Amino acid sequence: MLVGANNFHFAYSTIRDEGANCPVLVYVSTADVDALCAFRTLKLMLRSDNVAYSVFPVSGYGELQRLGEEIPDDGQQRAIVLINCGGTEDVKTVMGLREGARAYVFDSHRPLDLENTRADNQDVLVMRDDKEGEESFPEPDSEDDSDSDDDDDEDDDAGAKGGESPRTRRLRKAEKQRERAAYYARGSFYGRSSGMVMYDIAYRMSKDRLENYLPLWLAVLSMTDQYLHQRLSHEMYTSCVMELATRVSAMSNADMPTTRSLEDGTIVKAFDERRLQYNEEFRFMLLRHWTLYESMLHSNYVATQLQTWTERGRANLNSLFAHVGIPLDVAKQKYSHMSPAQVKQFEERLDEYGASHGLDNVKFWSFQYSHGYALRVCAADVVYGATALLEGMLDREEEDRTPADNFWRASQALSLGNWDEMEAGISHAIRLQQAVMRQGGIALASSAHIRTTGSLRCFSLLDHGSPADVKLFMHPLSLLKLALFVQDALRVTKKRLRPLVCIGPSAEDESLALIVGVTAKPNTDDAAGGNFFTHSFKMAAERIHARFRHDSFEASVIQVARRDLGPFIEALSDIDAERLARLRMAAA
Amino acid sequence: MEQRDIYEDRGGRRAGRVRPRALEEGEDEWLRQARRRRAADRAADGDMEDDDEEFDVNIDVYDCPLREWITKDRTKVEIRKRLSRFLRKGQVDEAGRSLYHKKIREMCNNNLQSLEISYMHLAKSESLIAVWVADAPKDMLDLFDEVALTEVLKLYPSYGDIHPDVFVRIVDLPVEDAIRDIRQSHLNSLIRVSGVVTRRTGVFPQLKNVTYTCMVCSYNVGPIFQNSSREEERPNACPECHQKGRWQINSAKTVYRNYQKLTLQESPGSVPAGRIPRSKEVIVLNDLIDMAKPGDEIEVTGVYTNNFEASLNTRQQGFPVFTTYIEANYVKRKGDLYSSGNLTDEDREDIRKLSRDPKIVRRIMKSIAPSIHGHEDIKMGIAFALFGGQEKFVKGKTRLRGDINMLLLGDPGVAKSQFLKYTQATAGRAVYTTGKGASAVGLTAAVHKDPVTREFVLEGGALVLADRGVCLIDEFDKMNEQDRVSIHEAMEQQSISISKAGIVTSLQARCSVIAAANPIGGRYDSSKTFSDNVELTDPILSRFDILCVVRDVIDPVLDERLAKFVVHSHVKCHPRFEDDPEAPLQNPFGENDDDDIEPIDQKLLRKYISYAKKECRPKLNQQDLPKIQRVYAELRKESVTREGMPVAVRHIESIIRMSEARAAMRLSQQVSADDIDAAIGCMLQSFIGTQKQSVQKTLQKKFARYTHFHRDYDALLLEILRGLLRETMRWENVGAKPNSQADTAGQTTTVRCRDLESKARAYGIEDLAPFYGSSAFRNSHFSYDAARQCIVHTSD
Repeated sequence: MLVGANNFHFAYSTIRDEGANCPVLVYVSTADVDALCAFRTLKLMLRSDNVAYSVFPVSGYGELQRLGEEIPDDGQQRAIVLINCGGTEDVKTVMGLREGARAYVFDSHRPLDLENTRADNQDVLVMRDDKEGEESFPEPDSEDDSDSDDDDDEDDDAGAKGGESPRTRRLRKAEKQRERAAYYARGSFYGRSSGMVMYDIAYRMSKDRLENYLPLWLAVLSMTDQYLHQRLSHEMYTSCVMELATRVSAMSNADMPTTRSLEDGTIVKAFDERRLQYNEEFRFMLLRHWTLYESMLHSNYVATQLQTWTERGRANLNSLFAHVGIPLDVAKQKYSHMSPAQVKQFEERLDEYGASHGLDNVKFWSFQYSHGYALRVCAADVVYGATALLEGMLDREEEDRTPADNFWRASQALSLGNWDEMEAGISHAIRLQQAVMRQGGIALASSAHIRTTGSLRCFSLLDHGSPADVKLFMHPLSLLKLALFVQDALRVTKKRLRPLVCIGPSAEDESLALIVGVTAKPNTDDAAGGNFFTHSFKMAAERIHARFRHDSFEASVIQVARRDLGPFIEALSDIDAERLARLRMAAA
Repeated sequence: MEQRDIYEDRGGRRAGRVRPRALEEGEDEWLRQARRRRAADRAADGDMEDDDEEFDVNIDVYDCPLREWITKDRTKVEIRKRLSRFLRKGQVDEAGRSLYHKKIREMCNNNLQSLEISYMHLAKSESLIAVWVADAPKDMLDLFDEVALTEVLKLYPSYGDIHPDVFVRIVDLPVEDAIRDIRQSHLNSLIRVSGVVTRRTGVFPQLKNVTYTCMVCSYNVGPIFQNSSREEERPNACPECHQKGRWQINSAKTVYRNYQKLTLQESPGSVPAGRIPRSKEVIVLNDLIDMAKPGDEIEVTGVYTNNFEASLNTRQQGFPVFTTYIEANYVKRKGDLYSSGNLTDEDREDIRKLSRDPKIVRRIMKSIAPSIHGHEDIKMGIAFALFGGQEKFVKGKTRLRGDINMLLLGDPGVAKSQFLKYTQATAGRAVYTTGKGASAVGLTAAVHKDPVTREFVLEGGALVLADRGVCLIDEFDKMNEQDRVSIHEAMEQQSISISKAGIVTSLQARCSVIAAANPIGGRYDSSKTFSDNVELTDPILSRFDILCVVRDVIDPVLDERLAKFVVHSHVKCHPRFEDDPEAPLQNPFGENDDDDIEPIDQKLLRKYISYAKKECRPKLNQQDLPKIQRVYAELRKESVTREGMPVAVRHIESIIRMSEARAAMRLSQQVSADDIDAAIGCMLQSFIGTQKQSVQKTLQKKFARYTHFHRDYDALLLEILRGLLRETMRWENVGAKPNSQADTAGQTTTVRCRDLESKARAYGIEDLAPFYGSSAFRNSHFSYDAARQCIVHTSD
């Protein structure tokens, strides 16, 4: 059943009440920072209400199923919360929900499984904010085809049922089938982030001031996370930012320094802990923790516009610095040590000269978090650092960390009380970005590395990557970063844009390869967008009877046995050709 | 007159340019002259627009000395105008765009301060200016600098924040002088000399413009620009309080520039016979600092000026005598280093592609010293030394060296010195010395008195100069024992500790040492033990990782091949050789399976080496270590009983270093089992080579399982066959009948197949049929006779 934005807090109160009897079970996806933020907010709220809960980080549907079987079957009213998982599959069958257990799903993945959205499914409640736009949910598959209680504007069949001929009913059934198929066939896309949904609940329940507005900061992080991984269009991002900006300015301790008087009578002004500020940031990745030159060289935006992996691109970047009047050795020192006069000069002159070098639209609105005078970090930095911690590969060869361990580590780092953890994550993010640039540069430098089969482009790290870097790309998120980078670069350099498939090593199994797919058009949530690779991967793998694993929450990621890679790619390009043919026929 | 015509006829020389109205037909002469006068006045005032009538003020007619003429305002304005025109449109490159704008862009992109202007370009478009630059360089160069700065600011308005000045460097001055030929006629003009830098002082600040503060009324006077070579000027009386008071330098407002003095000595090759080289002092300023270091060969373009020095004129003997020096304007290093900072993207791509070739190791070995035939083991050793192993730090303090040292010991005439010369040309940084020509101090570091600051400074010797490079020492055994001892520390600890004349310090000497030596008595006697043959003691011997003993063996097959090779290369390399179209001299050895292995071009090899040293850090695998331990234990057992090269713990490290070097050759980050096997093979070869002849065979058999895999069977079998052939020939010679000696042409020798097969079985090779059919077999003039079950060798 779908729950609209107005009723979110009712859902929460039910959770709270049911939690009084037996502990709430929370299953959190370990795949992205969005889930992490939503979980922290939920944890705060539950704690403030003295509700007991147990948390299980999960990394795939298989694990979810296994954990679902472990739920004791004692008929008690239990609340089960799923964060960023469970939306795209039928929760009842996956988890084997028994009598009395009720699942609350906070998932930003779309398309939602229509079984979950059925109105009569009282055991599964899916939170969906209406602000996502008019989305038509066709009726799920049911025998009598009679109930319809969604957001659809369709009129109730109940009235018209009686007087219809079987033929019309069959026609209507066929039509609904087609709608369903169309809905699923869009591929995967994203809705409002779970962090924002949780924050809405917190705001309604007046709990958003917990721990100095931590939920607000977490909402900012989830939104930024979606934006940075290109799951959100620019317009949606701007509107979310506006929303949160109003809340930020409504914070009470916004800009007022508190004054204290010391023992000898001097009055000292100090800023309180935890201030959030709303300002414009450059699109340079991890600027504050890196040098200006390196940050510009490696950030996706500048790298794809200026093509900095080539020498000509780097010369172009140097000439930009010469125009702006910043000496290169100053630019190559840490940005935090750059003198304020030069920073200002850089900002002003960049507006003037940036356009001539191809760098327009170099700023975007975001939030900054500062803690006293020591800590000052922007939302994007924290997202990168936390993602790096979630991926969990750091240099120190310790015992194998399970995804759950990484999850807890990232969760601790998020509160920013202990800065060292986050700093380790950020330095790992820096290394990862350098590896992305290197591998991307190798891929783009020679046309032989990116193969074009049919209508797809394919790039394999296993064949062409340098071994030292390849092991950094074992996690789907990092491989996705590489794929997005290469796709952005191709968008600038080549005329025709084709979907890109990226192949990398798999973390769990040596014989499998990890594959991600990126569509040609940016993955937004408008009516036509969607990552169709969700279906293509599965169909291709089944077609060639390869050994594969497709149980991650991120549906456009699949793991296939390495020796079947060749046939897999060919089957994939066949399926894509079929899809294009279908689209053309539908358009014609 | 002609020059004036040229200057007034500008419009005619440029294609498509509008002719000045002054030269249109049918106009009154008087009107024309009036217009010309007005244009001249406007030009002199400097408000001439760019594309106006191109009117050049007549500045080539003057009656005062040139330097005075240049200082006049009118001339200055005109010169500036011409210069900026030259920079804007003077030279066009292939694409039709202004060349100097492109150079300015490159300079600014790299945040440099020097703009290079070619004298030939200047002479072509503005010949008067070019002549003046050569005659009165100091003033002209100042004007050049100003004009260049305005042009740069036009293109990059904020460049002033990065560097306050831009300097113009004159390149390609046509006339070069020798240092010993500079006379008074060259004074105050631009000259170009080349030589070798022998000494270099530190960097000092020199006053550029000074601001003085009056100590009485604290009024700032200045800034006063210092003219170089004059004494400092002090204002006499303070304008405010009119006191002839004392002055204090206002350090906040005073501007300095960098100053360094080099001593340039004539290059030894250009000195006339029987003389010793002379030297000259060169002053480098601003951003030319530290462009050359002692030992570099450079070419300097600069102004030859003089300076009054009191010490030369202590006794009043007639007119004062001046000292001279060259104030450098442009310094160019000859012999560019192929450092990997200069690698372009295409180079990197080529290098990476090369490294994926599966036979890259053999290709590298073949490309080393391509003009020398054979000696595969020496070539392998040199390749290892060039690539080097990995330097490691134990707990951040103790250093384990990564460089591989090699000793070539052998009979005269086996091309040892040629190898050293080749390495000098290929290595990134190489210093070549010989035994007798180097003293201990010259090898390590010397202490001497610095003339400028008059204190003791250290100067590095050969080993210090070769830091991060290769030090080549020839005639190693002819060195004094005391001198040789100084090398001990450098080779193992990679540093040189000095404590003399009050300086106690330690210099880095992270170099590989490749040394060549001769045995006692000139020839290696394989019946004696190793230490009898060579004068070097154990400590120094064990510091060498690879010991190559090269013996001049009489082997008919090899000698024939060598002779063919030498003749062929002499013919080919004669300066008057033309490619013969009908029968190009084929590569006389279609050797084994080296047909498909092409050697690598030398330049690419250098870049490959510098790339590998910078980027590649191969790591050792855990599972291959037990093999190394086993080999080491066996070697030690053997070396106790035999009397060859002593085996010490250092040799384990050598094996590890060599395997890392071999992995670096493939640009791989992991050391594979093949690399370790090859390194063990090399170590065993050098160990076995130092034994007596009689025990060599037994040792070879004993360690056979370690040495034989990395060559393929064909080469191995060929060697066995050659050994058998040698024995058979010797036996025939001993027991031959007199008349068979006369028949030398077409002489055949037969070797029984059975002998070959039994030896081959010892190495585990059963099937010889493919060997009989291989090209190597045939090319060495062997033929297989199946009926008689023997192998026939024909020598012709």
